[in-house]
Amino acid sequence: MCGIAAALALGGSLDQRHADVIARLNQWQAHRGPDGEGLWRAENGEVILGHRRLAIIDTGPSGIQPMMDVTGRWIIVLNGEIYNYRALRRELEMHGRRFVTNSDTEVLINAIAQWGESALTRLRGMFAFALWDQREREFWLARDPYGIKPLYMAHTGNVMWVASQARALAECAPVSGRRDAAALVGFHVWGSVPEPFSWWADICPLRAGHVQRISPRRANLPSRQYYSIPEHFVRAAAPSTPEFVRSVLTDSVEHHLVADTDVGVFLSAGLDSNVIASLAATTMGKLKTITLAFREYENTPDDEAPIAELAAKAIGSEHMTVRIGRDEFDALLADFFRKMDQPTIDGLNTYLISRAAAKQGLKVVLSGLGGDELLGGYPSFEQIPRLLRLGRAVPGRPRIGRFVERISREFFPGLFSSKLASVFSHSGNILDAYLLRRCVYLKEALDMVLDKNWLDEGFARLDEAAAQESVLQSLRDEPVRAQIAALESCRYLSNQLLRDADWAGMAHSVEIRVPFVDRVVLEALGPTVASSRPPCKADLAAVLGHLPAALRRRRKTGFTTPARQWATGEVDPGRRGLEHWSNLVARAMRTSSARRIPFSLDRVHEDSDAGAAGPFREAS
Amino acid sequence: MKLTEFNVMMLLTDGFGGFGGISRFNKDFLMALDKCGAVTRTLAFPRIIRGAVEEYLPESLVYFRAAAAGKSQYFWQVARGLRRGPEIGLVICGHVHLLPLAYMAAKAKRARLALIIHGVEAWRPTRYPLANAIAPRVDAVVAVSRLSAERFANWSSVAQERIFVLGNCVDLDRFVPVPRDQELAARYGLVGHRVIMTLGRLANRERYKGFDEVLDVLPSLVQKVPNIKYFIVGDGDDRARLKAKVKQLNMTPHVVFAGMTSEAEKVAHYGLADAYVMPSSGEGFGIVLLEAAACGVPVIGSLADGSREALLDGALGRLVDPRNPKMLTDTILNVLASDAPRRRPEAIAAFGVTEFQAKACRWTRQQAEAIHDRAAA
Repeated sequence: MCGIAAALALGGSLDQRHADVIARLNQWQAHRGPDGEGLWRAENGEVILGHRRLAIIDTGPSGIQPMMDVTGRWIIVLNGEIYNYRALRRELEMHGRRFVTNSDTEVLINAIAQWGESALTRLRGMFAFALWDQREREFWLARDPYGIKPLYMAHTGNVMWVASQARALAECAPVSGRRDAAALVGFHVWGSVPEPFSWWADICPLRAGHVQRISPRRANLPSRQYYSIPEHFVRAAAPSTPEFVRSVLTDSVEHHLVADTDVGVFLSAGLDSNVIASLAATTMGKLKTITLAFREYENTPDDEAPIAELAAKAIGSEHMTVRIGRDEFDALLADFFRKMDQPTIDGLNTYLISRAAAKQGLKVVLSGLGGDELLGGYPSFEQIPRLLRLGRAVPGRPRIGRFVERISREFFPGLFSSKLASVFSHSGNILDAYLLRRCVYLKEALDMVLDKNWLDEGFARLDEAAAQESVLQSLRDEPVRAQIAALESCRYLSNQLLRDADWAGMAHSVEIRVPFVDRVVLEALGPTVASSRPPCKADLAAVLGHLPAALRRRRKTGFTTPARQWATGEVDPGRRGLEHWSNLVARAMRTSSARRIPFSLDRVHEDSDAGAAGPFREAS
Repeated sequence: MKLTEFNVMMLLTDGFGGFGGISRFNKDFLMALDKCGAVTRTLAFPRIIRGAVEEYLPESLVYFRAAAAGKSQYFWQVARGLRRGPEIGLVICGHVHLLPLAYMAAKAKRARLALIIHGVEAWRPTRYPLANAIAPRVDAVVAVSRLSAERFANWSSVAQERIFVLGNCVDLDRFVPVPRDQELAARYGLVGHRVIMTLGRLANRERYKGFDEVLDVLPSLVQKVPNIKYFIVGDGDDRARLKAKVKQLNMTPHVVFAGMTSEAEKVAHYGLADAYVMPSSGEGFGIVLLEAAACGVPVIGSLADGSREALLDGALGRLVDPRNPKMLTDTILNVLASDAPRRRPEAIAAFGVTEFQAKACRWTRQQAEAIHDRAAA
C-alpha cells in the first residue's frame, strides 16, 4: 500500500512551486511507502502526480508508480491492492489488452480503459487512486466501496490538491487550516470525524464508494456514488448456513493473501481474528501470527496472550507475543499523536500492534476487523432492539424522556451517566438509539464543551449531511438487525475503524488487510442478515472445529488495554471514560499540528495566472 | 509525555464582542490559551457583551453569552458552569471587582486562582472591601505592565514573584502602514491638514487619556502650524464637556470628533494621522500606542504611566511628561516638522501576537504544573 498525492490545474498551469508541494506531500507521506518515491509532471503543466511506494505486489522496478499503460494514454497513482487482479488480467487479455508488468496497478488502468466507470464494481480490493487520461484530459479519483483506503481533496484558487492523508494536505498544501465546525462537533459526538467532513474546513474526503471525474473542458461535476453498501442488506430469500459462511470467508481470506511478500495475521483472543488466522493457515501452510499484550495484564484474566498462544499452537503458526510496558509506551505517545491523521478516540491498539508487526519484518497483516458488523457481534445488535421496545412500552415517552434528561443534566450531573439519563429520550427511533449507543457526548451535554457558534454551525451541517445520506432509506421494511448492520458498516466501520486502521498501520509502514470488509463477502452475507437465520458468531465458531476451550469460554470483552490509563496517568480513567479521552485527543490535534505552508493562497491566484515562479513566502 | 486534562475557567468583564484595551487583552489571552498545549478547554464568562461576538471563536473556548445579562444571570451562569462543567484547574479572574466570585469558584473546584490586572482599577484598593481582602490570597497575578504590578503589589502585599508581567500585543499583520485614505480624510475634513490623533474612550470619571492636555496646548500649536487638526476618535460620556472646552478655547475648526470607529476601519483611521499623541496619566499599558506604532505613525506617549513600558522606554515613540505643556508642544511640533515616510519601528516585533502567545502559554503551563505538583503531593 502506498501514499499518493496529486495536483490538478483547473485553468492555468502548474509550475515548479506546485511540484515542490507534491514533493513535500511525498516526503510527509514517506512512512506510507518507504520503498520508493515517484513524481510525474504533465508536459503542459496540467497535472502533477506523486507517489510513495510500499512494494507488495510486483516488488521490482516494473511496479514503480506513477505508472503509465502501454499506450501512454493513462497514468495513475494507486494506493491499495486489487486482490482479483490476476482474474481481471486474464479477462482483459482476452479483450486484446497488453501488459508489461506483473502489477495490479497496470490491471486497474486497463480495466478502466476497457470498461470505464463500470470497472470499479468489478474490482475486489481496497483502493484509492488518481488517474490522468492524457487523451481526454480527464482526471479520475475513486475510492473502494467501504473506503478502506483514504483520499482527500482540497481546492485552493484554481488548483485541486489530492493526498492520502488529510493532515498531509493541511500541513503541506497552501490551505487555510481553518477548522471545520461539522467535523469539530462530529468528533465530539461520534469520537471520529464523520464523512463527508474533515478536520480542516478546506479539505474534504472523496466519499467511500464514490468516483469523481474532472476535466477542464467539462463543468466540475460532483462525485458520483458507484456503490452503495446498505442496498446489500436488503433481505434475500435464502437464509445463511454455517457452511455458506465458511465458504464465503475462505474465499475472501484466500484473495486477501495475494502478495509477493510475507503475510501475517493479528491474532487476539477473539473469535474473528482466530477464524482469519485459521483459514489463512489452511491456505498458506506457513503463517506468522502476532499478538499484542501488556505487561500490566500478565497473569490476569485481561491478558490475551495465553489464549492467543494456544490458538496459534492449534493452527501451527509461527507465533509472536509482543509485550509492551509502560516506559516504552510513554516514549511512543508523542509519535502516536503526530501520526494521527484526524482526531479519533481509537487507533491506539492498532498503532501499537502495527509497530510490533513492523519490528517482526511484516509488511502485510490480516485483521479480523469488520466481522462484528456482518455477524452481529456488537452489543448494539441486542441493545438497540431492547431500547426500541422500551420506547414503545413507555407511554408519553418523548416528554418523560426530555424531563428526565433535563433534570439529571442540570441538577444531578454525575449522579448517573449521561447516557443512562437519556435512555428515554433516545428510544424513539433507531437513529436516536444508535446515537446513544455510539456517542461520546450527546448534543445536550455539548454546551459545556464547545461554543455556541461551533455547535450551531456544526449541527446544522451535520443534520443537512444526514438528511442527504440514506443509510436506512433502502432498508425501511427490513428487520432492525439489518438496519443496525448497515449503520455499523457505514458509520462506525467506515468513519472510525477503517480510517484508524489505515493511518495507524501506515504509521509503521504496515498494510492492514481486512477480509471481512470485502465487496464479495458483503454481497454474499449482507442479504442474509435480514433473513430468518442471519449469519452469526456461532457460525465462526463452527469454522474453527478445533476451537480452544479457553477461547470458547471467553466472553466478549472488547479489546481492553491499559494504554489509555498509561496515557492519562490516572488510576481509573474509565471513571470519566471516553469523554475525557476525546478531550485529550482534541487538545493534541489542536496543538500538535506543524503547518509548513509553502505559499499564501493569494499568491497561488496571482502567480498561476501569470505562470511566474516567484519565491515562496514562508508563513509564520 | 503525559496527558492530563487541564481546564481553565475565566471570569471577565468583556472580551469577544467588546471594545477597548481590556477587552482586547482578554481576547488575546483567550486566543493564547487555545494555542497552549497544556489547556484542554476554557470556559469564559463575560459580564458584558456590547457588540456581536465574532464568528469564529477559538475551538477550545466556550463563551457563555448568557452570563452577560445582568448580575444575577452572571452569578447563575457561573454556578451552572461549576455544577455541570468539567473539572477546573485554574480560575482566572479578569478584573479585580470579580474577585469574590472567582475566589468562590476556585474554592469550589479546588483550583488555583489567578488575577489579571490591567491598569488603574488595580493601582489602589477597590471600593469593595471583600475584593480587597481576597486580593492577597490569589495564587498568581498577570499584570499588563511592571507599573501596574508594582502598584498592585504595594497595596495588596502579593509577593512580586507571584506576579507575571505580560504586556499587550498587536496584530502586526493587520496593523500595517497604509497610505492616507483620501475619501476618509474628506469625510472628516482632514484633506490638506496636518493631523494629530488620539483614540480612546471619552470617560468623564477617568479623564486620564490626555485629551485635555492636548486641547490645552492646541492654541499654541495652531500658531506654529495653522493647518493642524486634532482628530479625536472614540466616544463616551465626556464628549459634551470636551466639546464645550473646544468651543471655549475657540478651537472648533481645529478639532474633529470622529466618534466610535469599527475595528475594521481602525487601520485606515491611523493612516490619517501625522502623529499619534496620548499624554495620559492612568494607562495600565496603552495598546493603542502599539497599534499606531505598528501602522508606522510617529507616537508621542506618556512618561507618567504604563505607556512608557508600551513604548519600550522610548524605542517605539517619544515620551513626554503630561504635566509639562511646553515639552508636549515642542515634541508635537518636532514630529510634525519631519516629513519622513511612515516606517514601523523594528522593536515592535517584541509585541507581536506570536510572542504574546508564547509567553502566555509558558505562564499557563506553569499554572498547570503547579496544580499537578500539588495533586502529586
